[in-house]
Amino acid sequence: MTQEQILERVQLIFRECFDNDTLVIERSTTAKDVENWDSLNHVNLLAAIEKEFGFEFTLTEMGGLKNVGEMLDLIHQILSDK
Amino acid sequence: MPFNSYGFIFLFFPVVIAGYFALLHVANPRWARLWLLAASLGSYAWVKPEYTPLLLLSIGVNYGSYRWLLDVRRKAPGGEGRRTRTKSKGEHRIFLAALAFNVAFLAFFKYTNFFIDSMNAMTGAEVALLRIALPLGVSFFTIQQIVFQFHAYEGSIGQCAFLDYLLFVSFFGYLTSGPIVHHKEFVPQLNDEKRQRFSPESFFPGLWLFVIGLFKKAFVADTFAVWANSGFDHAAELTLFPAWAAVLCFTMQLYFDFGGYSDMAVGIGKMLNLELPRNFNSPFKATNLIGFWSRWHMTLTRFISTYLYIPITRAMPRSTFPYAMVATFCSMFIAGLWHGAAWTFVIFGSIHGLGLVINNVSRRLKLKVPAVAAWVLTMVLVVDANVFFRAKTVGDALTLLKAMHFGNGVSFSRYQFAEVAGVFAIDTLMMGAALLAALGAVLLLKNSDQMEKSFTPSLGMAVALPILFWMSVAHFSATTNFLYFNF
Repeated sequence: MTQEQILERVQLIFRECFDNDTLVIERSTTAKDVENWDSLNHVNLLAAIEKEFGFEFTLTEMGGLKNVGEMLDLIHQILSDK
Repeated sequence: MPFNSYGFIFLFFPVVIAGYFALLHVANPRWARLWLLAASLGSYAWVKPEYTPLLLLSIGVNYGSYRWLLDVRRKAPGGEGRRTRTKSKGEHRIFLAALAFNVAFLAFFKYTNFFIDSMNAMTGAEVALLRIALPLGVSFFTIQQIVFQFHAYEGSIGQCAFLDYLLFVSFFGYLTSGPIVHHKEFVPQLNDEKRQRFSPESFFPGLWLFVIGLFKKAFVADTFAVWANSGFDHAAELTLFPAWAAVLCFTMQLYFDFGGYSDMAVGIGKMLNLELPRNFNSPFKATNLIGFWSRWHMTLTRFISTYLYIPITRAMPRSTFPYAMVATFCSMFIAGLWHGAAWTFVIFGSIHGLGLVINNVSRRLKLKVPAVAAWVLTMVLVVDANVFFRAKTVGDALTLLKAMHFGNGVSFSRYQFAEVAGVFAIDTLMMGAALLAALGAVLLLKNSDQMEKSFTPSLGMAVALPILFWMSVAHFSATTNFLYFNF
């Protein structure tokens, strides 16, 4: 799966999770750029991504993501390793 | 050795930093690291030598378990190079044993007597308390190693030499009061050639941060401490306004004490050309409790959200909002107990847990609260919780809270602030002016991190630095320990 395909699917998850149909995410997007992206929604967001792609993040990975770019790279890496 | 002591400032740190860069220059990084390690263990032993074997025991068990884990991983099918998303039973058992050791270590030294005391109170038994020393910084170095075990188990740590591990846990810049540092934030820097030299670009901002932090602690926090201590000692005699004054003075003491310590820790790191994670980002500018915890004791919040909240959430039967709220409350309950082995800290954590739940519910309901009202509500909760943080017993805290909420009536006597500030009108004026000035500073001024990021040497800074330093050192006669030293 390419980075673009991953971004497309993650974009939909973001919109659903943050209840915002017009939300557009980029690689540089951080928690500060998205309203209500706090620790609670972070966990919910990652749980939804796990369900969508069929794997489980480690705690270190969940706590260490700094922006959407890192998230996409990580998903890409995990899917490549599967 | 506390940062705000003559010994640290005039002897220990100058010798350590000079020796460190001299060894990097004339010998090699290994000798320089050994020097930092000797300084770290030496300064730890300086306070009470008997704590050092306990620190070394904790380090030894944790490092041994990490090496064992690597060994088991290497012998597993696929060997050391395999991706470690799937764990073997052996790895899992070693990880759980290491986790259990750390929890038991902390529980034994910190909570045994609290447990006995509580059981005695509940059952009427008279079990004698044990003579257990509480090793300095045990809460910090234990959770730092718990995080290390998670990272090792999950495969994000490769090889870590014993010397590097020893220094990673015992570095004097954060051993006793944080920040809670991750392995990847510290050890790679020790091995980074670019950082193995004296750097004026890092040293001078570090020195500036250290002096600002020293001023916050020695001058500001210790000034508020006098009024806070006096007020809390006379809690039963206070009426509405002096009760609020005492608690607000403590709130400012805690803010500048911990903020000052955090600045000094980061400053020490920078002077040694090492970057430590930030721990403090103007928490009183937050307009809700979620924002407060993302700015206050940031490395502890990172630990709570990653290693308490997420596992508790995952252990819940379903991933729903009510269960997430239960996980939020449980995490803060544990975090409260982490601060200290007393019911006051349990209540402190519970108040914050409940506050976070209310904050999340109001977000979910999309309630719109004006920013000023939201800030006032947040601060009232933080200040009320601080009563439990400071009070010696729950009874003392309730006495003060009663006075704060009209329980002891309102006095307009000219001597009403006598038990907090002093008998003269000028004492009350000084305290009021100090509170207003402190509030203005925390809300309106750039914080230390912002100042450090835009650091440019100037004449004003060259004048301000020695003045702040002198004012701080001149205040050492009233030196108190950092509040987080007790943890």
